[in-house]
Amino acid sequence: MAKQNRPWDPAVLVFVIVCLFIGWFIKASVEGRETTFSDDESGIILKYPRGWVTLPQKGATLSVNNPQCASTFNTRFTINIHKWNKEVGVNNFITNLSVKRSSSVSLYRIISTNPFELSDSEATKLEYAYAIDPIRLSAGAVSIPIVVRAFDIIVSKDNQMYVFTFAADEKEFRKNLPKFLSIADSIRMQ
Amino acid sequence: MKSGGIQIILLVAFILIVWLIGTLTDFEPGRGALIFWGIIFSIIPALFWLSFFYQKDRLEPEPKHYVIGVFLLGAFLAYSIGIPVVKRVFNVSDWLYQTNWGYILGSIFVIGIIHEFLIYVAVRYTVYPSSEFDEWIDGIIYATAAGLGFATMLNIYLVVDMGGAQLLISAIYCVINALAYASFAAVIGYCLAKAKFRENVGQGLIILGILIAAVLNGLFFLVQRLVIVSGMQYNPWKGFVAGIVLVAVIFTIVEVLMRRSVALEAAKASPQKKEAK
Repeated sequence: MAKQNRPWDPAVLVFVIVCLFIGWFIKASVEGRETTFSDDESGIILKYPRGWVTLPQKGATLSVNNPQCASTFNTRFTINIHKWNKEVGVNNFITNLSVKRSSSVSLYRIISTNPFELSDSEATKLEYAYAIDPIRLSAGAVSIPIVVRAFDIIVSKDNQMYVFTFAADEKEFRKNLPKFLSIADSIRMQ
Repeated sequence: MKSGGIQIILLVAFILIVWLIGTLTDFEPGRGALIFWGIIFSIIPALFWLSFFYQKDRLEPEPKHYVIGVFLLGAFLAYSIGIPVVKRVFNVSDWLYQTNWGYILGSIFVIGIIHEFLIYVAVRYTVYPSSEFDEWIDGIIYATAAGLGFATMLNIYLVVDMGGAQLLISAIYCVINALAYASFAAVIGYCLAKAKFRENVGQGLIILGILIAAVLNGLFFLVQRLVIVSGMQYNPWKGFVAGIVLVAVIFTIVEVLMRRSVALEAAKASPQKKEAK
């Protein structure tokens, strides 16, 4: 009864490869959608992924996070602007920031401090990690403590210090790094 | 009792038993026990559906070890390729749920195509060239076996992901998901058989079968999502009802295709019998 028995179906394989390319294009299109943030007061303009949502955070100029994150700790980006006396110096500001942070989070550890270029300005990149307990962050969430890996890009302008913070669950940090760098690359300070 | 009636009664009984366990006990299994229950919840509906479809092949039943082999291969391909590629290469959880258009297109061109292609592979490169694949309905039997194996592995992941919570919902989801994947796979199986036995039909029909199955796969998840999350309200029951309705429509079409296949085989067999007499 058998009419044919081709060893394989090359046209089917080509079709599937084409479909997967279309799928990859759809992925890139969705992920490439961005929301523009513009703040007249601080003069900051930047772009972040459109799927991320803003969350009100006391004292922050902007706080957005990714609600689709697989971790209990949502990947996030925050801008804080601090008053700064030039006589204090950038290094002292970073030391003070670290001391404050070490008293507010658990197991705070500085990983590295390096120079960074942000919007044609000289900045400092402070990379660090700490531990959080998601059960305390949101009631009912069940998870073991999480190691958060983060970095601040710190840049001074006039009498203010701008701190751009990028944070993610350590397990998701590497995956999110391109997104973080894309946000950092879009930052313009007028 | 009519063919398949017993399996459907057993599936309803299975859901009722799970409901009783969830209602009468504090079911909070540990990680190891959860995987065990995930396998049980996933494999029972799959086996019932498998025997339901297997009974349809009354003229010349396929060797059981072939059918079970294709079922296991479907599960293995889901575990080793389907789930890792969808989760890790395409990272669907990061972008699929952001927009409705991204969801429907992603469900079809990423999840649907990968899943249905692997189900096709499980049949095409194993039993398809063999002498056992000698009837139209064999395409549907083997493809549904591969689809059920694939769905079983997806269901195990689902139960483990849900952490044992919402026991009844997990069980119903496993039953519907298994039938849905079996029905989508049946479309591929029908096209594979037609491509093998009909003159002037080539790879185009197989491509069409995979595409239709992938579109149905995408529609199935979209309908469930739109109904489950309506505005800010979460109602899984509505999603299940919508899923059942959609799968029932697809399954009815598959049932018609199967009857046509059986009738064709019977028509071919009867002149041969007369000649033999």
